[in-house]
Amino acid sequence: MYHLPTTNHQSGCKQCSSLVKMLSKVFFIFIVFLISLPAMAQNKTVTGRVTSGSNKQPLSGVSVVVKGTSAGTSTDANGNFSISAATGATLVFSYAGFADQQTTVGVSNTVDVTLGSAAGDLDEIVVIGYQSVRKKDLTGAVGIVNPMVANRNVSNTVAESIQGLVAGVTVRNTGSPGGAAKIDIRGAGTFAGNNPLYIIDGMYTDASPDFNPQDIESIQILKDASAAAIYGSRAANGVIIITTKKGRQGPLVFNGSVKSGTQEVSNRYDMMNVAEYRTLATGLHQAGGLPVPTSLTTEFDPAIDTDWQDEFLRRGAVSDYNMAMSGSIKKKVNFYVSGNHFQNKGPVIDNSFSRTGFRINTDTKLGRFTIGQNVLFSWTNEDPIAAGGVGVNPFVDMITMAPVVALQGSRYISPENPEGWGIGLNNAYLSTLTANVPALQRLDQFEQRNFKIRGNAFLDFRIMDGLVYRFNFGIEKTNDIGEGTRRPGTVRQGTPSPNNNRLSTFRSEGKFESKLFEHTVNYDKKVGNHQVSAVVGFSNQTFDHPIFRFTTIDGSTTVPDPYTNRWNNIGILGRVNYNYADKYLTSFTFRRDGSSLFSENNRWGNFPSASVAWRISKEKFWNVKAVNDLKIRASYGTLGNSEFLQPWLYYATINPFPRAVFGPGEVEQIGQTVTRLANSDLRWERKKTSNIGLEASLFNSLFTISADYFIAKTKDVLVDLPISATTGNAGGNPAVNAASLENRGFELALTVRPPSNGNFKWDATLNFTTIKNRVTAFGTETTKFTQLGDTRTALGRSIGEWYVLKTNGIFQNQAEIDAHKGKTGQVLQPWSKPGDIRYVDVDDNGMLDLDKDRYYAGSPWADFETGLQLNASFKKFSVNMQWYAVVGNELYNRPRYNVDRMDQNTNFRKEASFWTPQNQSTEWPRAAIGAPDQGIQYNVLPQSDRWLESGSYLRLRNLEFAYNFSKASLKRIGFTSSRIFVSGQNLLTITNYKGLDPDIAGVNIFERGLDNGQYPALRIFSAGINFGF
Amino acid sequence: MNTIIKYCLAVTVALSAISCKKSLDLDVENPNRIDESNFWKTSKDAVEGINAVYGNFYRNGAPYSRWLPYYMDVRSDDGYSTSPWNELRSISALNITQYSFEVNYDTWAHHWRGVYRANQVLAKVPDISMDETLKARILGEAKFLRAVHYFNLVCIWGSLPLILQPSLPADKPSQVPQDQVWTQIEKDLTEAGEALPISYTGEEVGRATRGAAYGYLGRAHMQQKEWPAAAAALGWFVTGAGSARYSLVTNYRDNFLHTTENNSESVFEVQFKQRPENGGDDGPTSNVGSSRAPFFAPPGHGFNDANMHRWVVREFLKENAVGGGRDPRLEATALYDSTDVRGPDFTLVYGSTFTSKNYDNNIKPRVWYRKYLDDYFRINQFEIFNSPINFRALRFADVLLMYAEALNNLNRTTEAYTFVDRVRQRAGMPTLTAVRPGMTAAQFQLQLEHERITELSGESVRWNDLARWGYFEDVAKLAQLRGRDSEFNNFVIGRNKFMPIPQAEIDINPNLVQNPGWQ
Repeated sequence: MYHLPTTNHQSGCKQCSSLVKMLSKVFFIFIVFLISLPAMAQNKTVTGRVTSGSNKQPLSGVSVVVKGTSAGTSTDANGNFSISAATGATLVFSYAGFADQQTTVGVSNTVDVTLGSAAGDLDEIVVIGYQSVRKKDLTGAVGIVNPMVANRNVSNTVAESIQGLVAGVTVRNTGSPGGAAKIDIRGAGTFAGNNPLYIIDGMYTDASPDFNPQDIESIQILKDASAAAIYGSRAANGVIIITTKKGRQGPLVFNGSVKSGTQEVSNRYDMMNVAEYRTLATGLHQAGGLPVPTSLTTEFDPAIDTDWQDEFLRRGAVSDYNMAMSGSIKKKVNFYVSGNHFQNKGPVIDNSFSRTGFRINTDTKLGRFTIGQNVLFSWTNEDPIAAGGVGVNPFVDMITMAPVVALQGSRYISPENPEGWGIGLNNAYLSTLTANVPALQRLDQFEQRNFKIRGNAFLDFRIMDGLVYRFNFGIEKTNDIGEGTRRPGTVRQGTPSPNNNRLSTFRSEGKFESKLFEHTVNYDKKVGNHQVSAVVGFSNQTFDHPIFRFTTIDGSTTVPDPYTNRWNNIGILGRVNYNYADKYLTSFTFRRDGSSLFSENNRWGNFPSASVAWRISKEKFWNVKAVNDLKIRASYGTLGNSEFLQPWLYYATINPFPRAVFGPGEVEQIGQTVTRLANSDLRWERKKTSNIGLEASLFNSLFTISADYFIAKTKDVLVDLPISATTGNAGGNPAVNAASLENRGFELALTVRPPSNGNFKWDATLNFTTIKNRVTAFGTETTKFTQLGDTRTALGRSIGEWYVLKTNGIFQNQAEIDAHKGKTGQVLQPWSKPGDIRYVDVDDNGMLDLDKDRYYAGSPWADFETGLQLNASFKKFSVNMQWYAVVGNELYNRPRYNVDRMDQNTNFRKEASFWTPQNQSTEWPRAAIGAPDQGIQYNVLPQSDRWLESGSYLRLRNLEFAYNFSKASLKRIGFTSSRIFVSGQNLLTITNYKGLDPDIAGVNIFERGLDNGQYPALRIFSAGINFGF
Repeated sequence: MNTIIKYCLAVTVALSAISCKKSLDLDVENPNRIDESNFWKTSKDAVEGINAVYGNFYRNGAPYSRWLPYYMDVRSDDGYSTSPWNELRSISALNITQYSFEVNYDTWAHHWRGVYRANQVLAKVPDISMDETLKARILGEAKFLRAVHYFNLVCIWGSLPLILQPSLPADKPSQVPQDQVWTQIEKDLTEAGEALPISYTGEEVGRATRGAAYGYLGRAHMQQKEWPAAAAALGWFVTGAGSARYSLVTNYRDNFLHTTENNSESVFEVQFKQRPENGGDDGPTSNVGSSRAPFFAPPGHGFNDANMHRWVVREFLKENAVGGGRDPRLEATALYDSTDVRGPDFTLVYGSTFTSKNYDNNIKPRVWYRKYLDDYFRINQFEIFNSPINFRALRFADVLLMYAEALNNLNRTTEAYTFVDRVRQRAGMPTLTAVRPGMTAAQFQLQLEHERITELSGESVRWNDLARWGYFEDVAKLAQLRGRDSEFNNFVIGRNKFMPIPQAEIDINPNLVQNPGWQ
């Protein structure tokens, strides 16, 4: 039993040494516990499988105990178990989120159990914050994620893993190792800080990449006000409640998994090789009347043909190792310990992420007391992409750099560039402002190392039956260290710095500490058909976040500006649920919150909500046989938000850094003044949500349907709204409660689960989301819109719609230019030449205005999104597919703009050409490098619809094939279960988008559709094994 | 048993209540920064407040540190741009299409930051109880600095809001007639002149002086062609108390070196210093140097984003110095193949000969603005963003030429000769009295145009000179500009005298009206 083939195999692996160390710790604990185990009784062996009533998925980690004894086991990854028990003994199956189930062992040696009622998943217990309710008693909108499905994906974060799995939850990915996905629950309800609140084991936190998704037992997503109101002021963006795995009564259970694979940027821009580039660039210089750079003529070197994408990208790798052990000591102390190591060698050179986590969850019953704790220790190590320097954008520069530039060469050596990294040199040879990003990756070595402890400890005291007091103390403490070295050398033509030729080092240290103190009293009472459950409580959380930065240049260190953020929250909360005969359900929630982020007059806010539900199918008059369960529900409530605010923003501070130099000695004299304006009247954002929903189960649970319609209106939306530069503001725009927003949406989840047909089983779940987002007010001011870049957020429209010039083809001859007149008869583009882009006089005033002749050219928000999961199994084989589609959004392809504008020394896309009288085109306008020509200037205007593309796509997000070994074959090696699988992630994407990936998070809330050269989602092939014993 | 449990519970609750008492306070003290309620209390605060206004000169992209010459020199007929940065080139090419691109936006925004900082001093310092002499000086400095910022704003953009109080975030001011801005500039400068000392000593050298205020006052009146008022203000330098204070330095080039700063010719200098860090704006490692040079330096030493037209060189060559040599100011003004009179084999470009640079035929005929380049000590290096050379915003030589121009416009041409001659003599040129006596006012004006080009090229006065001399309104005069600089083919009368206000500003503040021709 101690022989672990996989471990031996791994011990030869250098990168896994930390895993091995960790495993040996686990084994030590394991042995200690094993010694304390009582001997097992010898009976017949009973085997079986436990599945969830809701989705027929096998449940792993279900505790199986022989009643009245200490004998027990738990189910493996496939829900299988094996236990010794005598005929007539009672087996007790228990699992968080489900009611316990008991079965008597009969003559058969097989016992299959479904947890949850015949009606499906309705007896499933759902954590809704400070309370748990049966799923069937829910009155609010709650999404439930099966962690097993989520974990099929290789993901940095929980958010990334649930893309496409829950209606109403929108996730935009980044492929960056250790990067966090962008998640919106029910659309963008605010202009900033739209991240949901994460509650992990009762601790208010976030699910950053240091959190191991394998430790998750359940994920609930609270979407509407009534569900989330108990979290009051911090719940406006939705709440994701994560419960980690717990130990159960029964014997020790050991589960492990190993997953390993490759990872790459599967899509590439198809760029020109050096010969093609030389031809086109020569033509462009001639068209601009400039001498052709000597790099293309006299000094052309055919040996140089740099593929910058190849130099920058590589094939990455991922490995994920998990070990977990759970059980119980003397039926009093339940424990779950797990260790995890995740290693991600990124698909970009010198870019990686790793995470090592160790978790201990215990709970102990002592008479009326239960005490427990859940704690995670995690170490992460990230080597991010270097983007040091103004104007460096790695995913843009990797396509814009010309192939005539060598990665490295003696030609480029200079005092600023001692290693001779290839860059633009001068007008004569080749002048380009593109950065050599593979060189930057090598010169700029930076590593971010974090250590985190996150967890909670609680004490429950059962005052009397149905009345429980809980004290909960949560803590999150991190130590973040960033360390970097910048070797001497410039990576971009003309980026002088006094420090280019000196070695500099950088170190930053941050310590984050958050403490949560909570007192709650829960009450539960059932009298006849009346059932009441209630909770009241007090919650207080404090935050302390000091940061220090040190820069050392040539050995001299500066310790500039240590900065500490501190803020506190206080909440008083309560909820009452009332249920009459499972037919009429109602729930009232109240929370009063105070936050130090606001000035004294505005600190407190009240956030009430109410909801009702009616189970029609329980009424006597209900006689629709096909519908075996039908519940309708409605809710209304208010939530608050202040999450994006930094502390002390409600007053202006004195900037101590301005300097003035005077006197012959050039003394730097201290200056102090207000540089950043502040808005003293900051208030809570308030989000009012109405929701109506329906849940139904049809044809004896063949179909289950859940549908919701919601209207969410946010008032006093907080935003760093750009203010007029005439104010003299500097250092960032001040926060202001500036606008009102409205989101309306429809969500549908549909599951089909035919009864098992012998060896073949299948089921499918479809979810569908459509959200319409609209700005309904801009405060009390006269403002009608706010513009950022090429987007405009206007009254009555959605946030950040594209607002750009309208192109209408290309002038093919002078006659067309002359004929392009405004209503006053003036030629609109007198400067144009044949081959130039025709712009539309949108406002029809007879003139072409670059800022007024714009139109709303599309929205960055999808018309709808949909996800589909298909599961099928035949005998021991299973296949799972996740499809995801986003339809109707418009993206701005900034990387394409950079190469298709063709007025600069960049490389070009393979298909690129430019208009000439001999090469007339309706797609490619006239182009030239270096021409001070207004026609060319207009052809390359960034604010035009020429750069917009449909962002619609359909993606096979995950495909997994698995094989479950039979018990018999495993017995010889001491395993109780094993499953091997291969999976492919992002295997297939059907889209017209020309960029690397249409799944982009955008730049900020106003530019959500801007592809600014973002890290694309990656294609991952992996294989792995799950096992238990 | 029950009592024990109750006791335990009570202790737990009590302990946890105590432990979080401190955190229950929603008044969280800011350990990092003080706020206005703790500032503007002492004379130290007043001094630091005015220092912060000067500090605005150092922000990355601040006008005197970087962008002003694009508006005042490169945009003019003596300069042009071949920058690969299309938008930057469009300022020079007079066909800007991206009104909000960073140079136009930053130049606008940085000026308003200066106004805001000066307004804070002017609003807060009067209430501080402190030494009244120092207080008056500080308020004078603030008025001077506010006027300097408004002077640039009104010359570049024309119609402006007039903001004289510290701003609030929601402010969306409307424009006022240009006259009103000019009146405020004159008022501020007049009051500053009365309050400021004639000179400073020690670590105060470089602050605004009475001369700085009267010099800018003269400049402001000149720009409005208010000749009597201009002559009155500038007269302070030649007949008033300023006459003892200012003189021309012997060596013309000393006006553009970091080793000869704050000399007798200097009326107002923006003080720059080189230090290792040149980090972000108003941060702990902020730049206090000038970032102009990298943009102006020739290939291999800078971005080569600006060139001087060759006709400027020819303007120098029209006349010989006393004794037959070349006008010595040419060497200080232009970097080109013959900066050294002996030609490219002797002309040094950052320490190497022009010949050795192997420039191609495209680069060879070019001329670069030499003033404020660090070429004389940054041998064989690339320029950096923190040059130590002070920017001479106003020199006594300019004062003398302006005074002469004012007198000439008042039909006091004969008197005007003296002041031009002082400038010419310092440069080793023969006096006008000797070589061109008896000019009419009109002839004298044309002579002044030559004098200003040779004396002041590259010092960010050219655009205002052209504006004052009517080149932007008169078709025939505009044709001359087009002959010298083809970029002026894009110049539209009634449009290009002023830059477009950044569109982002108009989007935010609907009370602002875009300048004519740019709508």
